[in-house]
Amino acid sequence: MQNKKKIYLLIFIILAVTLTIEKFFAHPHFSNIWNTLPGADIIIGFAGAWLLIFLSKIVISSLLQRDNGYYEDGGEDDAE
Amino acid sequence: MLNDFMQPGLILILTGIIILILPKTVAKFAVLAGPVLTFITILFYDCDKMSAMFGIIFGIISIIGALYNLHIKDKFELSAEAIYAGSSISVVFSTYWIGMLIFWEIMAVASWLIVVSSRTAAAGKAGFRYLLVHMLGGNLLLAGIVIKMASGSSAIELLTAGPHDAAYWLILAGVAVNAAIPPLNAWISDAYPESTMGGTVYMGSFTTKVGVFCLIKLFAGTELLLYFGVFMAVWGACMALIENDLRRLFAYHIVSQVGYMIASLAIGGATGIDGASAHAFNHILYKGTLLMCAGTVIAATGRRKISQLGGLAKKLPVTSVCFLIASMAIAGFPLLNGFVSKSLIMNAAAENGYYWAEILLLIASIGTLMSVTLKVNYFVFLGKTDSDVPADESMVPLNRKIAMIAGAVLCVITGIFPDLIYALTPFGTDGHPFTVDHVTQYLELFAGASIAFLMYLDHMKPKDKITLDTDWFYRKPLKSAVNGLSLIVDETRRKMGNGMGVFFSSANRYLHEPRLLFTSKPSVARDCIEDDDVLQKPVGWLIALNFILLVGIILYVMFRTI
Repeated sequence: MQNKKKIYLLIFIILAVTLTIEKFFAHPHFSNIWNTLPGADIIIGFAGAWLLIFLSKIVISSLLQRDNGYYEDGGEDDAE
Repeated sequence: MLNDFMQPGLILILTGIIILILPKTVAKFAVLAGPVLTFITILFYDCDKMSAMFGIIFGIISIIGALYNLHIKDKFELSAEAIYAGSSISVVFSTYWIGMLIFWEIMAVASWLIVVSSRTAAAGKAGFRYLLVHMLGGNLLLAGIVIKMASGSSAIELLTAGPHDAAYWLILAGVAVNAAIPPLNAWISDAYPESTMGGTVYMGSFTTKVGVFCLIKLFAGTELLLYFGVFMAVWGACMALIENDLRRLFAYHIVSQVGYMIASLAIGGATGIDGASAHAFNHILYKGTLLMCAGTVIAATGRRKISQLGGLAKKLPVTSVCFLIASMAIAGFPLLNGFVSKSLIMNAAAENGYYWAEILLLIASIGTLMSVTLKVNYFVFLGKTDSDVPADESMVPLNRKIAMIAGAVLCVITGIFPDLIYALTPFGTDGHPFTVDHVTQYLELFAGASIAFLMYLDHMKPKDKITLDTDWFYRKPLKSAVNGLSLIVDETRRKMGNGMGVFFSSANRYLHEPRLLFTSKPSVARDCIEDDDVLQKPVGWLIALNFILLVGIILYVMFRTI
């Protein structure tokens, strides 16, 4: 994807803006660390995404994926 | 009890019957008139707030679905869809167990007919498995309701606080089948991709939501369901992340979203129940739009796998835009409706101290973003494919475009004006979605996740494989066991039949020619039968044998009394 650098830049700009807004204007309803620390959600987002990628693409995929003809039902046909 | 039958859903069921039996001109009119009339009746129907909310959204999606299917000529499919929608609405408005049960079963049969209405071999087989699972669920529900009614309760009531007896677990299991709670979830990813384009839109909107409605009505506040709900939310998103078939991806995603609703109702309280209801309302809108767009894509390209699609944004502009809006709504972008209901659910989790659930549901949101918003938009609408995909939006019927746009517009309106939804919810809880911390939370969450997605982009494309699910158990071992048992029984029957045949044919030989018992000399030619010398001995022996037997019996009878 050629425009990757541009998209990264866009994301970082958005993050910078939201971080500043959060630091100065946010009044969290709850007092846990992940609600109060500015930028905590970036970490949750990033780490959570990698966790899900690991769980789905590496764990579930290697254990449970099979070829299309596995059930000998004829598998999937192309739709009309 | 008559009230359970004189309710708005009946109009739609009658519409379905009309579509089936009356001539085309009337049927065409009825397809759209039925849902509209039903919706108007629902707006004026006197019932509790939760039933009204579900009734309204069911009415709306019936109209949109009918619009999507307006050009379809298959009376059978249209009729099944109308009856299905009507019976779902009827379950929502039922106040007695018996009414709920009757319409529940009608719902199961009608939805099976929708699955098989695409008339492919795969649909027939998937439909059969679907019917088996739903009949099992229906029977579990029936058993529970029978016990309930036998103990005197005829009206539907909240079961959470009551005794956890057999009826409780049976009804929970029966409702769980419809709500696609694992391990009873495989039917959804098995059957939904095999139906017609419009059929999947209907099915994705009703069965699971009726299940959620009944769970709220009967089991709100049951903590056990929280664990199932959170598991479903995360696991459904993971399965969607690796799925290649477009509509199967959305089917797994339904499991994820229903997980949110179940987690919310399990937490209970005003916020929890409102969160589940609002999320169901919004889900029908955005999932309906997503399924409509997916159906349009599949119908336009003739392909159903993501690995074979790509670059469709230019060729199907209206579809792409509607899809983009709905996919952002489902992830929970601010100013769209998903954000509104997710706020309620997160508040419910945090208020009641379920912090682990709150974090896991946030991670599930990320999963939604990655598997629907980022993955499908990138691999289906943006980018390029290996071969040029044929697609032309001028071939898409106008009614389908209008239906998709209507869905997307509703997502936006309910997102910008959340009070519309909060006014409909049972307790009217305000989720305060547009606070700074909520908005920045979601923007940061999605930005963080997008970075990860971009970094792993080259490996994100789904492989052309299937993923095993809990239906493996009845598609492999159970199938082999039943087949094996049938073979054993058949072999036994055949061998016994053969054995009896052998016995009778040899017995026949001796009965036909008794002399063979005594001699193995070949029989002489027929004209020698006149020759007494030949037959004298065997016949004589037989007569002698009979005579001795007769004398013996007479002597025995005479002398046994002595």
